[in-house]
Amino acid sequence: MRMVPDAQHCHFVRLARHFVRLAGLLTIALAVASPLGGDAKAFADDTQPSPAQPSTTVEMRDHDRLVWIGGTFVERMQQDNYLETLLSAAFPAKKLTFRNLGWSGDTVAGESRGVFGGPNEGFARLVKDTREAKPTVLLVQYGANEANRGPEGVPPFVTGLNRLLDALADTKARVVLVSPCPREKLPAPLPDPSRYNEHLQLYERALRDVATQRGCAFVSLADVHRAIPVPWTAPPANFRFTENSLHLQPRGAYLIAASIAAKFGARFEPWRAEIDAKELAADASGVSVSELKRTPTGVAFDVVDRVGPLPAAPASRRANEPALFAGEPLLRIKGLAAGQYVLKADGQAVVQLSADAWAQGSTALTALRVERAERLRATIRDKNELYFHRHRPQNETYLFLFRKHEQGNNAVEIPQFDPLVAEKEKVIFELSQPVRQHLELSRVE
Amino acid sequence: MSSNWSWARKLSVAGLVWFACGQLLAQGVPTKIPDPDPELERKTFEVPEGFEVNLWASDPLLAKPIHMNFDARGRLWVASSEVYPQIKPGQVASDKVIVLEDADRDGKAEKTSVFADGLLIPTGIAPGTDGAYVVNSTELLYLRDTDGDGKADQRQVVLSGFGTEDTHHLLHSLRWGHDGCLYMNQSIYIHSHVETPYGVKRLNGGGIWRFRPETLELDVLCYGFVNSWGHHFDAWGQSFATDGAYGEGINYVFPGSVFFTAVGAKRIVAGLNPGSPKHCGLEILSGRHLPADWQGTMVTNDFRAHRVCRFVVTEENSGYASRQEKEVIKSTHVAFRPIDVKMGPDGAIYIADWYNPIIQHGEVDFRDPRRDHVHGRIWRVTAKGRPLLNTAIRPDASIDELLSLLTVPEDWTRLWAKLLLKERDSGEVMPRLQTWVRALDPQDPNVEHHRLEALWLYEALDVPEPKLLDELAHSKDHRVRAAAQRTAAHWRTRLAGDIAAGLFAAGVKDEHPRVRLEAVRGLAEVGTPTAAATALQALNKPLDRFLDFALWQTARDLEPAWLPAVRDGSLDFGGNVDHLTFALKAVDSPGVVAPLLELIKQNKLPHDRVDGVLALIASLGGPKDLSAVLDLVLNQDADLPVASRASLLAGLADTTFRRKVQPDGDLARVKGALESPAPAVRAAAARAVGAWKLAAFRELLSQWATETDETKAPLQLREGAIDGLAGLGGAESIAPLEKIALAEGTAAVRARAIGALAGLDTPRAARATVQLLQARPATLEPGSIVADLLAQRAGPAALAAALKDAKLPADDAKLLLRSVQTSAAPTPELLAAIRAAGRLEGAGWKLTPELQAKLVAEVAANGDPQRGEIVYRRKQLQCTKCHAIGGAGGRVGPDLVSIGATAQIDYLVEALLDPAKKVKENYHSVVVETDAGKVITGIPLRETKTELVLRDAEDREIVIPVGNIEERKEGRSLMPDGSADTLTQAEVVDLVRFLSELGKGSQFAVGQARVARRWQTLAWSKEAQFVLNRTSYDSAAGEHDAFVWEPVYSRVVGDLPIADLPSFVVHQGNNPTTFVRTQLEVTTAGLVRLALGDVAGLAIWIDGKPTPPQSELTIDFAVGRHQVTLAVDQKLRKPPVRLEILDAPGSKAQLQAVTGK
Repeated sequence: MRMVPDAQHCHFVRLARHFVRLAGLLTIALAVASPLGGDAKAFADDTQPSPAQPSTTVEMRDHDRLVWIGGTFVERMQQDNYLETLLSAAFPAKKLTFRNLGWSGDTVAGESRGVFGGPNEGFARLVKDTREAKPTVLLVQYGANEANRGPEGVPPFVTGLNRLLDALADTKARVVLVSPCPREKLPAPLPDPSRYNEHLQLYERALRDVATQRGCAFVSLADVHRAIPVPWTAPPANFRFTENSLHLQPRGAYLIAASIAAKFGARFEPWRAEIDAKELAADASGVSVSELKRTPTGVAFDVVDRVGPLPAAPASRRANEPALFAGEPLLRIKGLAAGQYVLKADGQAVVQLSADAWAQGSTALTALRVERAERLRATIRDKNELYFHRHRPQNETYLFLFRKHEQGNNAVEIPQFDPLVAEKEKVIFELSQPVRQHLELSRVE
Repeated sequence: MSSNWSWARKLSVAGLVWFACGQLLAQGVPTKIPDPDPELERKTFEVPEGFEVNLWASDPLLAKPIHMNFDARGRLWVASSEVYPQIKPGQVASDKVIVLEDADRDGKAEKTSVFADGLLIPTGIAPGTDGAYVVNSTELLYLRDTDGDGKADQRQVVLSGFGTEDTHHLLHSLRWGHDGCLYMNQSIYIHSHVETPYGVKRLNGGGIWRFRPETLELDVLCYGFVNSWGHHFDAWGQSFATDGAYGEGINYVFPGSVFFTAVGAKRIVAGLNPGSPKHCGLEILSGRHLPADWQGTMVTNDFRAHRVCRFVVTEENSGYASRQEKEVIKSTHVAFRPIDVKMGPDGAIYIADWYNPIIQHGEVDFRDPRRDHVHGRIWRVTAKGRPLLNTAIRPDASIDELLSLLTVPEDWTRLWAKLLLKERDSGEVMPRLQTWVRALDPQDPNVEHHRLEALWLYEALDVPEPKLLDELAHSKDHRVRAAAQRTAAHWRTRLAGDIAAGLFAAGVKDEHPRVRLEAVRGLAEVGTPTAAATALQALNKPLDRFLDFALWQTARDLEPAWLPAVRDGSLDFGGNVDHLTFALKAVDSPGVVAPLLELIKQNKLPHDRVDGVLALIASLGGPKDLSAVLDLVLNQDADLPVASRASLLAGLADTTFRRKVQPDGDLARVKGALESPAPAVRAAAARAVGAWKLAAFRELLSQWATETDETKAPLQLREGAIDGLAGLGGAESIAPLEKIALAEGTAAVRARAIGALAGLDTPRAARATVQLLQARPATLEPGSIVADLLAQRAGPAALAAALKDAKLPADDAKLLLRSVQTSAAPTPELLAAIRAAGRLEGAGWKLTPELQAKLVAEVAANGDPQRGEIVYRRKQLQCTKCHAIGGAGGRVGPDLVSIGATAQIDYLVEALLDPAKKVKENYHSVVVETDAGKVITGIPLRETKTELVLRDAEDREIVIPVGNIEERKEGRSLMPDGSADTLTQAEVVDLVRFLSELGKGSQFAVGQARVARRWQTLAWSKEAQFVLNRTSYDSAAGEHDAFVWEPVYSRVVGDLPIADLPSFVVHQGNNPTTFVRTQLEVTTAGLVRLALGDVAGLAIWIDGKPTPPQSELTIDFAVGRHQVTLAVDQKLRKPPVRLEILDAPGSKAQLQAVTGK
């Protein structure tokens, strides 16, 4: 890394000013019961005791292949890719892979996937594509579009969902039912979603029941929203989770992803390393410190992060958004003799501060991690794009359907995306490994 | 020059050497790769007197422009794609939005900037005020430039879920409407599923979306089209569209209109220029730079034939009539591909030139090396000597300045003024707008249009303004009233009380049909029984084809509201039977049957309607309803003509076959009809006996079927009895049917019996077929003899077995081969058996890469298109039976009007000699197996929930009930293999040369001249000769049962050669005389001039009346179809005949020569 005389001017550190330490977020998310009012009551926990409840957490195993199916909400995860990035970083050793099979407007019947065929072909394709993606964990998020039909749509939804899960049972994947997001109430001229959200509760309940009956896990996005300490259903005028009341904008996607990741067992402790240069002692969380030793003008040690690099929260598109969370990787070094000290990471200068300032602590290590996390996220995006061309190629009419006698010869190109996806996944594994650094603090003469 | 091009040139020089490269074998020699110098291209442009073209922008600044739009400041935004047609594995999507600007206004863009990069085949661009809407395959993006550096820095997915099944069908042709909504088109193969806050909006197949970005409301304006690559609004808010794959020129589009190919459509609206080539882009001209006679005319591109075309569209009834003018640009340059056209800020016409010798990716390999990925041009057409404009709007223009722009003559300026005002603080805009409207000068001749602009501004602002709406709904200008109706429909739910419904009710009674049409469509949204009753009041004034469609559609849309009300008696359409029956007949719901029967029972229907209504009941009703119809048919006292009784009985029988329902009660009562003195009724009753399995009457049917004395059993009765026996089925039917099939006698009866037998005992039917084929009946083509047999699953195998050791004349065997190849199951065994029977082995073309290369080279070097046209027109080749040129000809295959300008020679050679290899979109056949064991093949035309309509190889429409379909699969091309087997190599070369010239130059392009292209000639027969001998030539100008008229078509230049047509020598010593006739469809009455040129040897009848031959006739035509008949004296006349329609000065008449088969 280049010499950064003033942390304030570093691009990534500027980014990092918006940085949300996930630890902070999750600590708050899990601990704080946000005040709910108005529509939010709709999403309060069921007060009626249930005889059985599905598991609401999902355990990740080595080499798990997570396949998502659903509508636009799932499809658009490929815009920001936060959930995939966070899970990759949270489980760097497990070599998770992901396949996004979301398709706009889809329902449990595969309504959007029929292309030229009728409803049966849409369903057949949904099942076939899902099988071919070889899931070990299958995330199913349906119901958002069915809910437009109101209460009378619930029974066919439940039948259709069971039919889908039956059809996919032979994959032996652990199934996670994910309930749809309630719609965000946005100012006019966008319509008021209250009635839709009331109906959505019926679908949420139906999903929970199906999960209980079938013994699969259930993640409620209604619960997830509620757990985020921003009043979801009545956000302040200058804050938006969604672009259009249905689909998340980057900030919303980030917050939701962090909350869902927690349901998948992702744990992000606050990154904090306190070094006593005089006593040669270290106290750390979220990172391990080793090889601590004195140097002629300071101190040297190795750090290894507990998890992979974590992306910064995106800036909201709206101005004056309240700062939701704070917290950045904090390196504090006390017991230094007076003077100016430069911090080098793997031989590269990072920041120069006074001994007093080091005792207060620096967040200068944020930049490298954010930069790496952004590379990870960009690679995931590229991988998803390649996979999109693989499972939903353009010109299907000519490649595979009724005009394949004309251009079907070009269909040989489509499986050529597979090795490209695999290459990107290799890079993703590398980038999602925890940061290891040799840090050295030396007095500037 | 790019390396691509020099490479391609070397290849073309390398010629056959290149063919040694195995991998590229199939792709053919790159012919005619032009020098990409724009000036060389420009020099090929022919433009109208007083106009000129200059290059405004070109590669390398611009590659492969797909769509363009100017912004308020006069900058041109271009969506361009180098990735098209398909991203390669590993290729980075690098497509761009480019902004071009001619800031110094010297007529050339000097500034180019890349606004956005990294896009995947962007096919639509609509600049907004701080960025642009861009179609990026599945998504509609808004790309925003927040820091003003001219590059997008924010990317927002606005809508997603658009289909990508074909990359030249992706969402496209973005247009801002007067109402501030974004209109977007999608093409036939696209299936879109878009989640909005109002639910999932789905559009399968083609159509035009209407989208309001602020509210995310998304609706569909119209359905259908193949490639609707052009859409624009005229100054009064009416929509027009063009299509790049079906040739009906300009299409008038209104809310709820349905066009060619719409998924599930029962009925469609046709375009304004049938038989026209296909078009891309559409701009309606306006502005002070262009001369007065160009104002309001429509420009679109015939990109296949390298032409920029112009149409004059005039009002006609509720819709419009359109006529082509001389081209804006006409070129011979093979890579000139005009695909978009827009008015620019200087008032000139801008043309986007996609520049490519290859235009399509269906028929031509995605990776064909001739595909151009690097060039592109923008051309500018100006009127010489007329001042240019500067209509750029400053970003800081005040609200009042913007309001004042609403009165300028340039359509695009007024549009941008509204779009910019939409972005301003509406609290400030509103009061100023009110003041502005109030201050308009009532004496201004354009004041009504200015007020309409104000109404549209309210729409753009999305603020209903009922007072102005009401005033404009009562404007003295019908165009304003029509526009107000549309606005009322948009605001309907937000206007207080019944304001909108009240306006519609008044609109339905308006004196102008377009106002009535808009009102009728507005009512479709209201959703109440009253709305339906109101809409049907449109029947109190005359309907035309657009209004008729609009009303029919409204009746269907409102069915859930009115039909229950009619059934429970709460609605009777004011007692108006016309209204009620129109509504009932519009919907395909069994629910209409009871009310219709009630009308008949109460004797409320006029007599001439009863028939149609009963037929509808027969097609929709349940057992009880059918029983009631049967009782009426059998009731001797009922006031029903014989023909009606017969057709109703036939309809009842047909319903049983199709829907598997039959009348209630004792069906033996059909005995009454079997005893009818009318043979037609008895024949229909015999079919009913078969349908209802009334075995008691089997003896009677056998007797009729085998009766050879025509006085005892006329032909139609025998046929009915044969059908009846087939329906009864069983072993007992086989013997009499086989007896007929094998007996000497009328071939038609034998063929009928074979058809009946085919389903009962396929091997016997096959043996009888071979016997009949060998008898060589002159009146029947081999194809029609074997059709029913081949429609059986076991048919092909049985026929192959029966042909073993049989011999057939070679010509019959060829005809038979042709039929079998287009049948559902052309098994190799059967084809071999026919070849063996006809000893055809060794004949025919086998297309190898070497042969293809040789032919391609021959075509270019020695092909003669004149000779080729003669080959094309040869009767035995049957090209015209399936293909039209300029609308005249069969419709089984694509219209070839500009095939030469579209297709490379290698493709044409392949299409002719190996037709199944690549098939034009929309000409893919399907093979349907029915539950009755029938196998039917044809090209799907329409499909509703209940019916699939196919066009078979004989150009017949076959209706198949969806409920009877057991399986359907993809079929092959309906063009038979071996079509060209009878041709010599020289003939193939000439024929391909002719095809390759189609659409180019003047000799082989269908121009603006309105000539009769489809004629009919009187076929020679003893009967016809007899009639003419006993009467006079005048009878040929009328109808007679003995006459058989066969279609003949003009040459591409528009005249009809007469030498080979059948002629009559009516009396000894008379000169041989040929009779031809053609029809004209008049849609607006008035004086018309018909130019016939040289009239030597002609006698003329118009609508049967003898008319003195003159080279030009002026005739006053009423609305409707008119017929011109010519008698041509073959001795006195050698030159071809020609009939051209010309305008009579001052006449408003609109007419077209009838085309088709």
